[in-house]
Amino acid sequence: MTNGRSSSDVTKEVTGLWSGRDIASFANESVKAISAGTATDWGLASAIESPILPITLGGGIPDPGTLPRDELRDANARALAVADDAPLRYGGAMGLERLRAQLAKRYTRDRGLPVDASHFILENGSAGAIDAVCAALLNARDVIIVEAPTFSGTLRTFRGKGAEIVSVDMDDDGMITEQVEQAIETAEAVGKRVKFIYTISNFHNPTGITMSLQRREELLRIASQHSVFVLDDDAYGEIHYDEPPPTALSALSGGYGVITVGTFSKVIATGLRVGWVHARPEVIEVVARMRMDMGNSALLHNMLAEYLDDGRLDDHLDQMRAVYAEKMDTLSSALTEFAEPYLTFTRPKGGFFLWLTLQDGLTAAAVQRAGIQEGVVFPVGRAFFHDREDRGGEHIRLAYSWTSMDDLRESAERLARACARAAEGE
Amino acid sequence: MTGSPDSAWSAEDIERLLAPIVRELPQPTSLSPLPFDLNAGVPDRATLPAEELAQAARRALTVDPAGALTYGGSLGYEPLRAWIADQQALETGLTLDATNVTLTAGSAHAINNIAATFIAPGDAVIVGAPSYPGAIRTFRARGAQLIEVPQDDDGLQMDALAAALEQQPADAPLKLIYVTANYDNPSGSTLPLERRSELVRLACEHHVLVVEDDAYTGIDLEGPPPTSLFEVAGGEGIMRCGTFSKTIATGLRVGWTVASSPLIELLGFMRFDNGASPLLHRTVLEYLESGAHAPQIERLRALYRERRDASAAALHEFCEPYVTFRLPSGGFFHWLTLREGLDAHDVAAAATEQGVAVTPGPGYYATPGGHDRIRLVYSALPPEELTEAIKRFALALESVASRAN
Repeated sequence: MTNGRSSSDVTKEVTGLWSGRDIASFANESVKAISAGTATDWGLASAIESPILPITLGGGIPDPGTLPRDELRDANARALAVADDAPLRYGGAMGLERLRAQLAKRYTRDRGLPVDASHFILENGSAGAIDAVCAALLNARDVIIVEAPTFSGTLRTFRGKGAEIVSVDMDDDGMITEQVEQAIETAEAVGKRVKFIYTISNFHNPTGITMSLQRREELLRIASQHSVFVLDDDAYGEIHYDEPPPTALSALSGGYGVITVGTFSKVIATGLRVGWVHARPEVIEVVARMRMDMGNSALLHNMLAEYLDDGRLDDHLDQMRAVYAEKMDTLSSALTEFAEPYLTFTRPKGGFFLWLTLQDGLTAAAVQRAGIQEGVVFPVGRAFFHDREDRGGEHIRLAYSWTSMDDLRESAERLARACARAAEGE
Repeated sequence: MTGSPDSAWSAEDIERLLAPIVRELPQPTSLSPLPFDLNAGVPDRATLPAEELAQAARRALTVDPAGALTYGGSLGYEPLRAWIADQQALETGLTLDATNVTLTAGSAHAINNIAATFIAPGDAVIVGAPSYPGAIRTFRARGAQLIEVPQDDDGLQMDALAAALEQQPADAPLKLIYVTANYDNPSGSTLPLERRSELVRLACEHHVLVVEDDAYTGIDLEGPPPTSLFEVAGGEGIMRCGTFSKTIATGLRVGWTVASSPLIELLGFMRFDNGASPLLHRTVLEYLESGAHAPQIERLRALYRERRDASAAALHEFCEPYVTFRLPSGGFFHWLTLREGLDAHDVAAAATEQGVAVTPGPGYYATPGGHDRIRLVYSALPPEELTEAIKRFALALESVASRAN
C-alpha cells in the first residue's frame, strides 16, 4: 500500500519488510485445508465464457418473484416503529426470544414434539448454525459421517474445522444405515471419536431423496447406541409438494441426540441470513457458550417476528410449494421430452434439485463443458462428494428454484444439445 | 418409535462430547437488572436513529429487493466495503479499495474471524493487562496461550512488550498482538504516537501480526486520536477492526476488518456462514449516504463528552478519597484505581446493595489481577442519573472502607 503523505521512517521500514513476506504462511492449518475450494464449488474449470447468455441452474436460491419484499418492508417498519428500541440494541447470544417462541410453536405444531424457545438458538443462516455447532462440539480429528453425495458447503465447513470425513452411500430411502454402523465401528476400532452423523433427511441436496421412516428409526438407534449426535440439516423440509416428509428425526428421538439446523433462507429469502440450531436446551446452552459474536442482528430478528406474527409464513409456504412443484414438473417434463436418452432421474417430492444420472458413457465434465457452449450452467456431481469422486455413475445437479419457467424449458433443450455434443466427443 | 434412546443422552453424555475448551469458558455478561447500570458498555438509547434506519431499509428493499434478499457473499456487500475503504483511505492516506475490507457481524465477530484464521491450539497471543474480555474469551476458545503486557495510563508498556516478544516460548508460536489503541476497554487509555511507532516496529521485527481493535470508532471526545497503528504500519502486517455499533446501533451487528488484500482473502476463507445479510448492509449504506451519519456522530460526541465530564465531576466530588482515575479522551469508560485496602469485588457487591452495577477489574485480566480496579460506564445514562449513581457508589465505597478499617 502506498501512502500519499510523507510516511515516517518506521512506516517505510515496516512496509518494506512486510511486503516481502508470504502472508499465507501466517494462517493456520485449517486455512490451508480449505483455501482451494469455495462454498459454491461447481467443479467448473475456470470463469464461464458462454457464447450466449447462459441459463444458470446453479444455486438453491428461492424464486425471485416469490420474495415477500412488500411484507418484509412493512414488517421492518413495524419493528422499528415501536416505542421500545430493542431492535437496535444487542439482542443477546440466543437471539430474540419472541422469534424463538414462534419457531417453537411451529415445530410443536408440525412435528408433534412439544418444544419451547429454550430449544432454539438463532444463527447466521443454517451455514452459521452448522459453524456454531462445530465450534461447540467438534475437536480437530473427530470423525463426521456424511452422505455420499452431500451439500458441498457443509463439507467445506467440516474440513475447515479439521474433522475427518467418512461418507456412506445412499439409496432411494436415504443414507444406508448398515454402512453407518460399519463406519462407526471402524473408527472406534482405531480409537477415533465419531462426533456427528450429518444428514439432509428431507429433500436432500443434491439428490432430492427423503429418508424413509424405517431408516430414520434405524439411524437413531445406531447413533444413540454409540453416543453420536445426528446432525439433521433441514433446510428444505417445509418445501414438500404433496405430503410432508416422515416424522422428523428430532421428534422421533424425543429430542435426544439430534441437533437440527433450520433456516428462513429457502422458505423466505437467502439474504436474511437468519437460521437456527434446534436441540435439547442443554445442547443449546453449550452452543451459546461458544458464541463470540455478541449475537446476530436484533433488527432482522424483530423484522422476522413481525412478519411471522399474523400467519403470513403459512400462506407464503403454500404459494412456494405450488411454485416449486410446477417448476419441478416443467423441468422434468422438458427433460423427458428433449433429453431422455442421455439421462435418468427420479422426480423429487420436494426441495429445489434434480439429480441426473448420465447415460451412454457420458461424463459430467464433458456435459458441463458442452453446456457452457450451449448456454446452460450447472455443477457436476463430484463437487458433492467429500473425496471429489462421483459414485454410482456420472451425475449433474440442476437447481430449478431460481430459474423462470420459460428458461427451465429452454435449459432442457440446451442440455439435450450439450449431451448430444458431448456424446459426439466435441 | 419403540425403544426410545432417551436413556443414552444424559447431561453428562453431552458434557463428555464437548470440545474440551467449552467447559472452561464463562458465559458472557448481560445487562444488569439494577436501577443504575454502570456495567454494560452500551450506547445511549434515546439517540438511536430508528426513524432514519426504517427509511434506509425501505429504500434498500425498494431499489433492488432481489439483491437485498439474496446471498451477498462471504466478504459482504461490495459498495459498503468500498464506502469503508474510502473512509479509511481518507483518514490514513493509504490507497484502499473494497478488496481491503471484509464485513463482519460487529468487531467481536471480526476478532473471532481473525482468531479462526491465525490461531491454532497452543499458539500465543499478546493481550494487554487489562484487556477486553470478549477478546480474551475468543482467543482462549481457539486454545491460544495468552501473554499479558501491562498497561499504564498511556496503554501498553513498550519495554514489557519488547520483553514478551524476546521471550516468546519455542513451543508456542507468537501469532498476534491484540491492542485497542484508542479508548481501550476497560482502561480508557489511548496509545501515544511514539508507542504506536514502537509497537509497529517491534511486531514487524518479530514477524507478529497486529490486531488493532477500533471498537470505539468515532467516539472522539478530545478531537481526533493519534495516527492509527494501521497508518503507521503503512497498512502491512496489521488488521484493523471497526464497527457501526457505537455510532449507529449495536443491534445492527455490522462491523469490519480492514487489511491488505492477501489478509482479507485469508479471512474470507474462514467464513463458514455464507456472509451476513445484504439487506442489513444495504440498509447501513443507505443510511450512511443519507447524510444522517456525520451529524449523528457530532451529536453523540457532545452527548458522551457531557456524560464523561458530569461523571468525572461526580467522582471527584463524592468518591475522591477512595478512587483515582485519568480522564479518557474518548470511548465509554472510567477505569478507577481503588485506594489501597479496597477490594474490587467487595466494592462491586456493596454497590449492588446501593442499586448500582459496576464491573470489578479482575474480569479484564487473562491471569489474576485488577483487584484494585473498577470499570464504570458513563455512556448509557444521562448526567443527572450518573450523578445519582455515583453518589450511591460513594456510599458503597465508604461502607467497604469502614469495614476495612
